[in-house]
Amino acid sequence: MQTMNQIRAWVLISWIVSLCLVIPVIALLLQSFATDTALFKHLWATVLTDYVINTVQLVLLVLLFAAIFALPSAWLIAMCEFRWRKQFQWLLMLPLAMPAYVVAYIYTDLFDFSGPIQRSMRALFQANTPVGEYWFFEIRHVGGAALMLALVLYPYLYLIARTAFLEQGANLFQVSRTLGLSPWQSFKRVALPLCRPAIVVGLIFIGAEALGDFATVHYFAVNTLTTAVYDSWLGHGSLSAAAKISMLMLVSVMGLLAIERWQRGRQRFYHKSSGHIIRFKLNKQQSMAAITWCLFLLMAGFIIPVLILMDYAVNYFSAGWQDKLWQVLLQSICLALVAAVITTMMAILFVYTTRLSSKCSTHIPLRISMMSYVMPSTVLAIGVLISITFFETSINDWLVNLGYPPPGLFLSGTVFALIFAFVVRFQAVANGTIEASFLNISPSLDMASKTLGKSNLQTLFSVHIPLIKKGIFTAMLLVFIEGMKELPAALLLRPFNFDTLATYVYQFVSDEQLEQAAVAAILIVLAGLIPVIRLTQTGKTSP
Amino acid sequence: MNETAKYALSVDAISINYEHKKVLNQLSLNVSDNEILCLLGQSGSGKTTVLKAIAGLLPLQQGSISVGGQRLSSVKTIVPPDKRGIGIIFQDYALFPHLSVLDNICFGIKETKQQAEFAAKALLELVKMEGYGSAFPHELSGGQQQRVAIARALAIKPKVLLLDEPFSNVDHHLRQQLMADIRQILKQRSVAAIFVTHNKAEAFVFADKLAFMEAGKVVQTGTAQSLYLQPCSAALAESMGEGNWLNVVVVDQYRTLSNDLGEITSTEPHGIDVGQNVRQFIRPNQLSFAIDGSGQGKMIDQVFNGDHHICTIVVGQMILIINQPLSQKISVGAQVSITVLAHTAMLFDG
Repeated sequence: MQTMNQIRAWVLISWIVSLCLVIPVIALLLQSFATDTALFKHLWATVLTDYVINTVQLVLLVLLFAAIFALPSAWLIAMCEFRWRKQFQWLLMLPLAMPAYVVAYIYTDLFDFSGPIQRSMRALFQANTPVGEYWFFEIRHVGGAALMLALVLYPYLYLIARTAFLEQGANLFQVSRTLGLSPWQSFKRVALPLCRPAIVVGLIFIGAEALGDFATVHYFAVNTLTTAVYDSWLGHGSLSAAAKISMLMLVSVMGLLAIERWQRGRQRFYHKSSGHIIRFKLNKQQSMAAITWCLFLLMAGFIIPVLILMDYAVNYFSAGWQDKLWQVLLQSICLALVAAVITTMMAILFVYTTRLSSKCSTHIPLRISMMSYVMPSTVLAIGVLISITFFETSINDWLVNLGYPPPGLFLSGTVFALIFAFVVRFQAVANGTIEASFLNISPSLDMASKTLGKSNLQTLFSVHIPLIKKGIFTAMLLVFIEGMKELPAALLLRPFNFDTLATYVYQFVSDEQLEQAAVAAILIVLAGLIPVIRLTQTGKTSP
Repeated sequence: MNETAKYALSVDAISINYEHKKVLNQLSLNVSDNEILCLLGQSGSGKTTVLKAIAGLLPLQQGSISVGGQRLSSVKTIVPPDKRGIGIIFQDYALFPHLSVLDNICFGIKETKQQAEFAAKALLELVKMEGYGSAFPHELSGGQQQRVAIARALAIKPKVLLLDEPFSNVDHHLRQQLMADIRQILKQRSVAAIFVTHNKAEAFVFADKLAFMEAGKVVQTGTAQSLYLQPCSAALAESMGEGNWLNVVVVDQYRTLSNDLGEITSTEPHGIDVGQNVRQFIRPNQLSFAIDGSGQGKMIDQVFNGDHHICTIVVGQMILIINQPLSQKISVGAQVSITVLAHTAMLFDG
């Protein structure tokens, strides 16, 4: 009986904590039904249709580009043998470290009318081509924005698809060959369909990121639903219009997820990996093509932007090292660290609770807290804003009724809102890592510890935590880095006069002065490289 | 060419290296039409590699592989797996998880959809899986998945069928029935087959002919009986069943001398030089014993095994395992004398 009550306490705490994490979604839902819709009606009547069209265009183009970048390279790396394959395997992940708005800035600088490319073209063809008289692609356009986003987002799909190709093992493909199908037919009818769920998950994730992107589209002056959310709140102060638009975005993501689930039906795609993969040996021309392709992605998504950033940093060295930078860096680190500690502790709570009982109810908190994974962070920030404002006004009203002076904006005016948003946003990252570490611990260890007289809490501290130290570190590191990079939520929720590294850099980007903040941008890239390297190391243990 | 044409499948002195290690070393074997050959050997002896080479999934460093007299693999050329007409069934069955049972079976049939489904339904009936066409692989038991895998492989009317440890994932009590069923199907369809296992009981039940592999080579081919009674190597002798090892000296072409059991006479000449010190292998059913107050052995343990007792008997420094008929009433602690029954001696060096 004693143990049952103990377990109930764990489950209860898990439920309460995980429900706190969904408050923003619930708040968003309630607020979006609120009646104050003058602004929304106005938007609806005027520009919203264009915004929706832009958004749909943007997301579809990002997905298309990302698929074009990621899938062939994933298949090449997983299934073919060519020179430098092992190096490309992790090099192709590097673009993940680049913020899209920085890449956007750099390429605009490069390809704009006044940029070096067009200037040298004009110099080359002499003055017979007057201004505007020749064709050159317009980078400040939906397509340009999508290309920039895809260049830095494709590694998510690449990683997930490569793993999926590898995990199929060789047997299914080989059986297909012995049943009379050519390699290409086998790829089309076996390898690709088996990867579909993984590919779709990767695409939905990238789609959500593209949907929630503010900085890149704003820089390119492409109006999307996300920019509409910013305008509604920051420009017009209308939370309910922002909530309505956010809800629209959230519903479309959920809709896509639901369609995928429904389409899958009873099919299963999981096949226990077996059979040693025999990679196709590419001949000389094929190898050259493969290397060129991988090199193009690496150059475009990482090397060229980094070189230009370094060039900026050297040329504007004194401007880059302002006192403000140190303060911003410190603030960013503190913020990310707090978020990392909280999410990791909560992840341990959720995952450990699932070990205590196999009942369905003990697993729900973990699943609920994963939801934020596909939630655009702009949407999440609006949800956080609504819930916190609601809480504050309630407290204020209550205290005023009791005759006390109102405390004012004691939450939304502080970093609390930011931390709350970060925690909700990155909980899935921590959960994933912690869950994987816990899976390596045999359940019989739990039983052994309990039969030796330890309580659940004692078991957690004396058995599990020492065993998953590495996982705890990884989880904290990953959340920390995400926190350093996060922009949209920080832009919406930061207190007055408070900057994170990302908002600091973005400020300079939107003022067309990235050169001045090149050092800060390099710091973000460096921070972003850490998890990429981490992923590479874990990737090495797989075949 | 004429030599290979006699056989459904002929593997001629193939070698395969993997990461600088010789996995197959000049391995040869032949399978006649409508014959089921069992490739037996310990894990790591290269059995699965043989199957993959035959299916055309691995290149050869030496030798050649022919089916029905047509050369499919050689060092220079290799007919791709999809043009060979050889079916393979993997240990994990490798059913396509995203396709229904019917679609799995139709997968390799190159006819109209209607014809394919008609053929697939006939195959489902053959493997006693009628009514499961719309099920998905994960909804089936191990034995059912196995049957579907067989149906799928048969659907392309293969000249040769390869089975990699086909029964290892099936419950013990289902295994006997499944083996009988599949053997009957293969015979009915006149398909030559090679199946790989490390379990001799499966080999005895399922195969017409056995080939034993050691270190990348087939060391002996023959009937189950010949491998059991006249194994060419100590490893083969042990993997075909239990036995007792004795140190003996060769007396003449028929007789050997053991310190504890005295003279042992073989029914066939063994061909080893007189005076050599060798090891003799005697199976538990090639010995018998009787109560004898002045006998050289003492029974220290007796285990019931269904149709006989397995008895442990100490003779001097040596421990012997001997099968005892259930009718013989001798219990633990009895002093016994031991008789070697007439058999062909199994003698090995060292």
